Amino acid sequence: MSMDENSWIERVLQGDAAAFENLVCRYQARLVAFLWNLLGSGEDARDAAQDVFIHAYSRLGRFDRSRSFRNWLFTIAYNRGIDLLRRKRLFHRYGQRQARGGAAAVHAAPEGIEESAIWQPALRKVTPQERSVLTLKYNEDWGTEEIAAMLGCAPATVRVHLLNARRKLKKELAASGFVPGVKTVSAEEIP
Amino acid sequence: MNCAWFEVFSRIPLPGLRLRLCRWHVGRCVRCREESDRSDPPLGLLVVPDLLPAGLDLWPGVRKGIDGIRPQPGGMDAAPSPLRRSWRWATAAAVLLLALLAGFWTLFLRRDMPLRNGPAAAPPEAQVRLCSAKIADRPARVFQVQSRSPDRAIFWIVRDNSRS
Repeated sequence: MSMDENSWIERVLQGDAAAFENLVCRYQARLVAFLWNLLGSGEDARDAAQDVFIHAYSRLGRFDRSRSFRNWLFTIAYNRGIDLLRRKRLFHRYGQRQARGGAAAVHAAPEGIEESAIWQPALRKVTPQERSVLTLKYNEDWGTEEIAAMLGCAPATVRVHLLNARRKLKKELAASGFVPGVKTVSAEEIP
Repeated sequence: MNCAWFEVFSRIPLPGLRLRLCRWHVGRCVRCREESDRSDPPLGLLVVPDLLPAGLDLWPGVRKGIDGIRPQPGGMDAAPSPLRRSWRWATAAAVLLLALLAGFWTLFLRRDMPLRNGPAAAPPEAQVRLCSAKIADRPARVFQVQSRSPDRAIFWIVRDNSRS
C-alpha cells in the first residue's frame, strides 16, 4: 500500500471524512470498469461502486493495513457484484414465473445485462467468475495468486477460468464474425 | 490454442467433475499454464478504465452515503471472502440437516424404541379372537386389527358374497 493511501486512511479514521475523496478518486474508474464487466450494466456498475465505497468507509477501521487496500476494495466489489447478480437472477426467475402464471411479466434481462454498444454481447457466454478473472488479469494486471486469494480458490482454478473464458470468447467471436478493435466510450454513454 | 486434453475435460457435462479434472490437468500441463499466463487481452472486449470519461465522479453520492457514518473501529478485514462465505453456507446446511435428522428421530423412530430404564414392557395380554360372524344369517368375513394398545381390538365384518 502506498504512503499516500496510508495517510489518507489514517486521516479518515481520525474523523476527516473528506480525505476519503482521495481514495474514491483513485479507484472509482477502475472499480466502475470492473463492476461493469462483471454486471454487464453501466448504471448498475456505478450504483454498485458507490455502495462499495460507502461499505468500505464504514468498515475502514477493520481494514488490516498490512494488506493491500486495492485488493480489499476489489474483494468487497466482487462480493457485492456476485450478490447483485444472484438477486437479479432470482428476480428474473420470479418474473418468468409471474408471466407463466398469467400475471403481468416483470421485464428484466437475464442477469440484468443491458443491450449496450460498450459491453460486448460475447461476454454473455462467460460466467461472472470468468469475467472477474479476465478483468483483474487484463485491466488490473493482477497475478494468478492474487486473483486466487481474492476469489478464495486455488490458483489452478483461476487458470481454468482464464482458459475457459478465452476458449468461449474465441468460439463466440468466430461465430459472430466480430472484428477485434479498441472501443471508445463517449461521455453520453456513462449513466 | 488450448491443448486437446483441456478441450476434452472442459466438455464434461458435470460441472464439479469438469472443474476438478480441468484444475488437475492445468496444474500439470505446461502448455495450459503458458496459455493462461499469456498477457494479451481478449480482443478489446472488456470495458477498460482508461477509456471511461473524466466526468465520472462518484464522490458526491459517496459523500451523501457516508454522511453521519463513523468508520467502525476494531476487528479485521470486513470483506468476507467467498471461501468463508461458502463455509458459512456449509455450516448452515449441516445444522439444518442435523435439526431435520433430530426431528425425524423424535417423531418416527423414538416412538418405536422400547424404554431402557423404565419398567419392563407388559407381556401381551390374552387377545380376543372372533372366529366367525354372520350378517342376516349368512356367513360373513371377519378382519381383525390388533392395535398397539393391548385392551383394544378392531373387527371389520363384511358380507361374504362369494359363498352364496
